[in-house]
Amino acid sequence: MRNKLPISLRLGLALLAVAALSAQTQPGSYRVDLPPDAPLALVSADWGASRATARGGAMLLELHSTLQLRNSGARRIRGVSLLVTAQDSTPGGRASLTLPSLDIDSGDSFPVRLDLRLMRPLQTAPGAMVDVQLDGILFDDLGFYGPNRMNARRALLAWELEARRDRKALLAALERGGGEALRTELLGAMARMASQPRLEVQAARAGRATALEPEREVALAALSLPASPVELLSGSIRIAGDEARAPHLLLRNVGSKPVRSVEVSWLVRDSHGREYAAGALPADVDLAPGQTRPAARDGALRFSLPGGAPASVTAMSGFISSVEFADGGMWLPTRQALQNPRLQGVLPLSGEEERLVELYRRKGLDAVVQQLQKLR
Amino acid sequence: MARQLHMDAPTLALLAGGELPFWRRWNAAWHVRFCSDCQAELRKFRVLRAALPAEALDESAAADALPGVAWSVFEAEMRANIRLGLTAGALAGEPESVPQPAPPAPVPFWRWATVCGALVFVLGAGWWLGTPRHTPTPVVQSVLTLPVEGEDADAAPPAGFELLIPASGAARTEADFNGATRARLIDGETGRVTLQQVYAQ
Repeated sequence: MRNKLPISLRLGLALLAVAALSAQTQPGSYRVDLPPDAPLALVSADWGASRATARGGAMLLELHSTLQLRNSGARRIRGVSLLVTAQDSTPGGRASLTLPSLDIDSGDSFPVRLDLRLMRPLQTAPGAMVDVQLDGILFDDLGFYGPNRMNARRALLAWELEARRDRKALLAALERGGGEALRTELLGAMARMASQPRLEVQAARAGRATALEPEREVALAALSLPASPVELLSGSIRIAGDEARAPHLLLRNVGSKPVRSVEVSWLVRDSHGREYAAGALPADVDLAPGQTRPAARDGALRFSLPGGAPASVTAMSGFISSVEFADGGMWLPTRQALQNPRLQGVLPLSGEEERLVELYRRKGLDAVVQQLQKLR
Repeated sequence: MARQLHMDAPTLALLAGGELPFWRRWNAAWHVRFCSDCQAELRKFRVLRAALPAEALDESAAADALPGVAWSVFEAEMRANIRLGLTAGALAGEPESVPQPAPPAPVPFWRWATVCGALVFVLGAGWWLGTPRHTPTPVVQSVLTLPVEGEDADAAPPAGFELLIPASGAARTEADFNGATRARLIDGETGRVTLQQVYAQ
């Protein structure tokens, strides 16, 4: 009799705690939808502090989740891309999450962190507020699985090929001069990263946001890299103050294989004559060998300095940074090609270089050597 | 037909001697007041009590009042029986002391402490489970301009993109003319890379 009250109290409080937890996470609001035949299985989904907030006629969704996925196939996974959809047609209602540089053996599990903010209309059809779907998986033999709705294949393959290229160069340094040579390479990359000026780039809707400075059309300076199968012949862009919009490009396939898409990387020069790397433009262009074709976009970019001050843009130049062929193959510039004096000191480190430099900073040379030898 | 209930003899005897507790005495007196049978019984007890000498009612003088009983022999016999019972119990392997019903003990302090600890644990577990177990590191904030309260989302100002760079970890952000914003986050501890991209269209 004496113990009944505390036990019932404890049970009640436990139920209250569980109810509070379920109200916060609302498991029915989020759905992870993987194809039944996918070589990837969902082990668990913790939606943590994910929440939805009404803002006028729209809903702001803050997603903070950890998905635990398992390689249920036979091949080793090198990259995964997930499509996160709150509303297909709402600006900011769709996102993708890509994890390159993985090395997941068959049967192994791995976590996927998801921290996103998305928008959706307040009143929509019943169902999950957020859908997480598989967009693609890249395997170690460069095979691909998935619907590829957001061009996950191109992103994963480009990352993987670039990573292999850069790891091969670092491994060569290791074999040539041992740990000290590798350390020199990593310290050089770190110094390059620290010395590069950075520019913040925001995507903005087409249409001018400022009337303070007159808009003018400027010719794009085209940089040509050796052995590129596509040549950027010419181009123009409209610039006003810190905004650049509506680029027009003229591309020519100078190779022997049909081209499906290209990626053009941008360099921006400000009014002080400093040059910055400013992102890339992936463009689907079907180019037969020898064919010349224009490519245009009506989007706009806004540039600002790290402190937030607007960066006054005076000129832009571009170069072909990757080419995807119709047969699924891909071209990337070699490391020697990127030694172009124009690009030196401006071009950012590749993703893999940055990853290994970060690993070196945090865990030391042995961790990098281990990675290089493991992913050899 | 309702059966008439009467007070039992011991109660009436105690009432006659004024030895009942207050509530039982009041109850018995109330009954006797309206019950002629019990009044008669009570009267007999009072007469008998008055007839007994005062020493007979004194407990300490009971032995002398009953000279026919050999109290010392009776006491020795009782002690011997008890000793015999304890010896037999010990030989049979039973515990020497006969378990006595324990008086209701006050609840010890440690039990209350245990209950309080359990309550604190449950509350703490509820709070912990409901709190994110990681520090959220938002990499991409998709919407720069949100519609204000009461404004239709479609009529709201065009959305832009803003990137939130986490304080720790290497991150690089990019945007393109397709309206997409990308963020590259590298976790130096695990060597894991996450690319997030939010689409404007």
